Amino acid sequence: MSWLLRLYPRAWRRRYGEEFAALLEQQRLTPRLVLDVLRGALDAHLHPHVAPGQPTELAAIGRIVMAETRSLLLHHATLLAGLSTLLLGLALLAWLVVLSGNWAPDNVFYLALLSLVARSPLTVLGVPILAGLLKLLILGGPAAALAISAAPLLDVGLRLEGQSVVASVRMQVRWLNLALAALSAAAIGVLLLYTFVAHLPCTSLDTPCLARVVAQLMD
Amino acid sequence: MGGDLLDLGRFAEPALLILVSLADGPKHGYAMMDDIERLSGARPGPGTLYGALARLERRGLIEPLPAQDRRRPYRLTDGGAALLRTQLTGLRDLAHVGLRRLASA
Repeated sequence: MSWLLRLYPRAWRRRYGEEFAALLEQQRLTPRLVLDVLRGALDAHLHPHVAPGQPTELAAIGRIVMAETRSLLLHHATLLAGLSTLLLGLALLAWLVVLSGNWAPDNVFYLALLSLVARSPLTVLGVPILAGLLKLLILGGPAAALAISAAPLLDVGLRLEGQSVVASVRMQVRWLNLALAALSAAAIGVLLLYTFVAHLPCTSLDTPCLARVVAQLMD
Repeated sequence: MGGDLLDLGRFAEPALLILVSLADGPKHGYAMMDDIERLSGARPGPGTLYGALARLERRGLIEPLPAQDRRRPYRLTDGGAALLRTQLTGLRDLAHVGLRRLASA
């Protein structure tokens, strides 16, 4: 009857496995007993916090919030990296324009426009997510309010709602965001390179030319 | 620690019976099942017994003793004994009121 024990969570088995197995060995195998153990195993999976040594329910919520916060930090770090690249690109572009004395409004305009276009799907997707979060905050009670206030906006409400469809949207948003950040960074890199070459104080990008650029930057 | 057993849902009754069973000394799972069957007329299944045991242990109402040949006895804690006393006193009062009303009906 030891196969019945395998239905229980690992942590539960660590604590009660030996004595529970000994108890099962003293029982007659009947449908009623199997049903009772099945219900017990289901309960142990649904309520892992009742076993001694396991985190309390509040600690379990805390762990979810911590995991979400870590995940969101990564998520936001991606956005921050993209935004920093954009700002750095704009600063370098402005520097080059000032250096060359040749104002190139088209380059700046296209750079900003590209960034906005690249990020617009995120904004559009963010509206229903934000609406979902507000709904959760209103209907979800203190635990949801705690989780939302403890973590940044986008994803945490989706995890707490625990619906596979929403979780799927959440993953898509994350991958889309990563893809857009990569696309945005690549586009900015190409534009920067183009702008750099276009404003070179010489016709070919060789060592003397680079030396002149460095010298200008040092001045 | 324990507060009440009512919030244990379907485990409330087995939990009370376990506390009663342990009131006269430590017992392991199989002995508890036998004792509860004698007390209530119904034998709890192993899944139900350990679901209730885990909750009682988590609340500090019972505590495990060192295992003896793979079987682990449990005993009441002071908090468990106090809670059991409160619960049984409440049930006795309820039984008195109910019987008095039946007699006067």
